[in-house]
Amino acid sequence: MNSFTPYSDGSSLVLLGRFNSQARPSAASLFLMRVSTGVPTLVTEVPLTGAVTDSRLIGNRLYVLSNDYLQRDGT
Amino acid sequence: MSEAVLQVIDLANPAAPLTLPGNSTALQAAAGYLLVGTDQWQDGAEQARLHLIELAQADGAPLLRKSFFLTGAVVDKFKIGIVKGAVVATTLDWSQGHQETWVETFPVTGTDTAPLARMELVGARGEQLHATRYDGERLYVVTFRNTDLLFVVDLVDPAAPFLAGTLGIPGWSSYIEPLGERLLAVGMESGRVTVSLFDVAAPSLLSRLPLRTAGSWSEANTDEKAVEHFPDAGIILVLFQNYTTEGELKAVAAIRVGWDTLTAEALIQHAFNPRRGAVMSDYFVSISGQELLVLDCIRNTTGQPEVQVTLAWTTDRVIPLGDYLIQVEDGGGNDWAGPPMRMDVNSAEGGGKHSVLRVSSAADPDELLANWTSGRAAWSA
Repeated sequence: MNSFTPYSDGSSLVLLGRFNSQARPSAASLFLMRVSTGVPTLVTEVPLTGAVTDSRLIGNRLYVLSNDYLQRDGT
Repeated sequence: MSEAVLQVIDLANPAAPLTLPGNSTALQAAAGYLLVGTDQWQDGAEQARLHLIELAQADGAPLLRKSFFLTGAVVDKFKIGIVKGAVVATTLDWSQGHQETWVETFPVTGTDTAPLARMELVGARGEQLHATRYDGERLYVVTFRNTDLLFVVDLVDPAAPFLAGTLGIPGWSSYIEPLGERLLAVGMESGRVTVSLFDVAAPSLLSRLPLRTAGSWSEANTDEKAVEHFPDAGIILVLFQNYTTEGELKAVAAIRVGWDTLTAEALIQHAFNPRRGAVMSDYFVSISGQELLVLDCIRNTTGQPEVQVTLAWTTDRVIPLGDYLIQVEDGGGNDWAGPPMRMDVNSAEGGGKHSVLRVSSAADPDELLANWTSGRAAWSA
């Protein structure tokens, strides 16, 4: 799991991880956490496509590179 | 078959992803662009490409400017960059039946995708490509077969790169960090983790510090986050493990980086493999999957941490006791990992590992009230 702190006030944390339910088992997801008085809470989750290979945080935008394996005849 | 997907997450407004043909191999950000390396199996051969993606749009959406065909593959993010208005890639080509390392440059502006220059590091033919790093107009490349070859490539004119110097030394470097006229490297030599300091003005090895004995290994060999240089403190922290007949050492080595020398400063030992370390003010802080340790790097002479916070632990059995839980870590009967743990107070005499009993309230099993190691109590609250 990768982590980023997108805002300079240290109040937020972005985690790149995997979804943990039967709906999208082991699928990549981004989790935005807010930390208030030491207590983390989940603000939102963004489902991601494919298997994450790398990422870059530029400003407040996170660029996530992944590989999406396509099922096609003969492949 | 696969395709590379570049997704942009503006946390308030995610943009549409950009898809590229092939399997992604590397991502790098430079000079307002993203560089994405891909590999694609096509017509019976592997085709490596490098994609130049502009980030100038107001919504941050990635805009594919152009794609370059490469001679060889881009194996990690340190192999690509933008130098003096040119995209530069250090690539590894196997197509001739042996390894070839190439430095390839392409124009950033315009629509032309033809290379500005392609230069093989002939001295690296047949060698495995290891660490690379761009530093201003210089490129450092490390290859290895029998000895570590350090190549210094001058990119002052990206259309005419030239080899400015080489240096051959035992071992190989997996991570390098430019420090102006010095180069700091972490790698392997004679089966042990080694930290090296080079002079790159007239390429030479200035200082080398092996981390313990043969059999040591560092996560830094595959993940650069496991090594961190703190220039203000003049310290590099390297995480490593050392397997010896006396046992296993899991530690963070704090090494002072002088102009010409490397000096061992402190060794912070963990019970579990350390993963990351930092210098914060006067303290070394390191973390493993089980604990966080804080060592006073100014006043501490014992090597024992001032602060030790347990973050996670193994529980093999749980014994309910009224409002409390006794959590037992004794190996759970699994002896595949070594001698079994023993519950008696002199377990070390039997060559077994120490067992640990931890007490928590039944209402909050994660909040430790006390723990015993080999019968000795250590109250934490």
